Amino acid sequence: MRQVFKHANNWELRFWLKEGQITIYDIIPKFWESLTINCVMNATWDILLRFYIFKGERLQDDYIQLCKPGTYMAMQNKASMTSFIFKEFLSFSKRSISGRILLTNRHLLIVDGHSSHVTLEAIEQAHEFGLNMVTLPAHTSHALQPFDVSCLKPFKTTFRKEKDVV
Amino acid sequence: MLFKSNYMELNIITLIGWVDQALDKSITEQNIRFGFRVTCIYPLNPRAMDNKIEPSNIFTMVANEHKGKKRNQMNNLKEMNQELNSLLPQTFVCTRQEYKLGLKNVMLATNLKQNNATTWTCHATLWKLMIR
Repeated sequence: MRQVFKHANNWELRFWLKEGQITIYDIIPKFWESLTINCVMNATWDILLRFYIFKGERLQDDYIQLCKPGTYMAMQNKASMTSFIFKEFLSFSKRSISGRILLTNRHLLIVDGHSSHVTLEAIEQAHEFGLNMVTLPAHTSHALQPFDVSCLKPFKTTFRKEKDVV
Repeated sequence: MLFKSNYMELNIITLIGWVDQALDKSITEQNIRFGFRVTCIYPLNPRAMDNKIEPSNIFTMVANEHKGKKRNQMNNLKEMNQELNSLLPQTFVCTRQEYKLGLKNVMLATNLKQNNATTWTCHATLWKLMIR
């Protein structure tokens, strides 16, 4: 069953519902935006950092007002990771674990093989901050990246539950 | 309208609030521990990906003895691979490009005799199974 509503700002919201179904799983507006979520997980079982990249040009701090303290954000035209943003991301990560890093006590950072992660400037900056970067081999992130393996599916289910409560 | 009482305007702010709460609930200690253990990062196992990944452009082929079996008898690919390995002198390996080029080039690549050319007929079904 399909129903179409129109908003005052010409937003088309389409609802797909079965009979007897209460919750709504798909809300497809006419204009939709993309968002990237970056997380740093520690092997001592703690989230170190959360970092969102929004679509836009001018930086607006209001977007994070409902989030926890300790989250960071950035704006980019296509809401994607670039080499410039990744350097900022490294500085944020250094700030969040500043007490524990020493020259003798280095940390290991496991990232994808995305083109923004592999630039020479980023690797040098990470080396200054006390991080040794290791990239995963290509086409193996579904099996070797811990976030993809363990945390992505519960994230989707909890996100849908919170959407249903509203 | 039906949903007028439950209507709310979707902002980026509310959406990010949902995302942030969902991240809090999903990334727990257990999940992180599970993730590092399954991916064999800690404790480290450098041969973790050996069985999980295979090159996509190689498939194996079987001789005429496999022709009589149905698809339902070969549900598991592992069992099928064991059966294939048991028939090693009669099997051979070639790439997908060689398959597309045709029979003659494969014959040249594998030094087969022309008498075995009839084996190609039963391999179309097996080929679909292996690609999965």
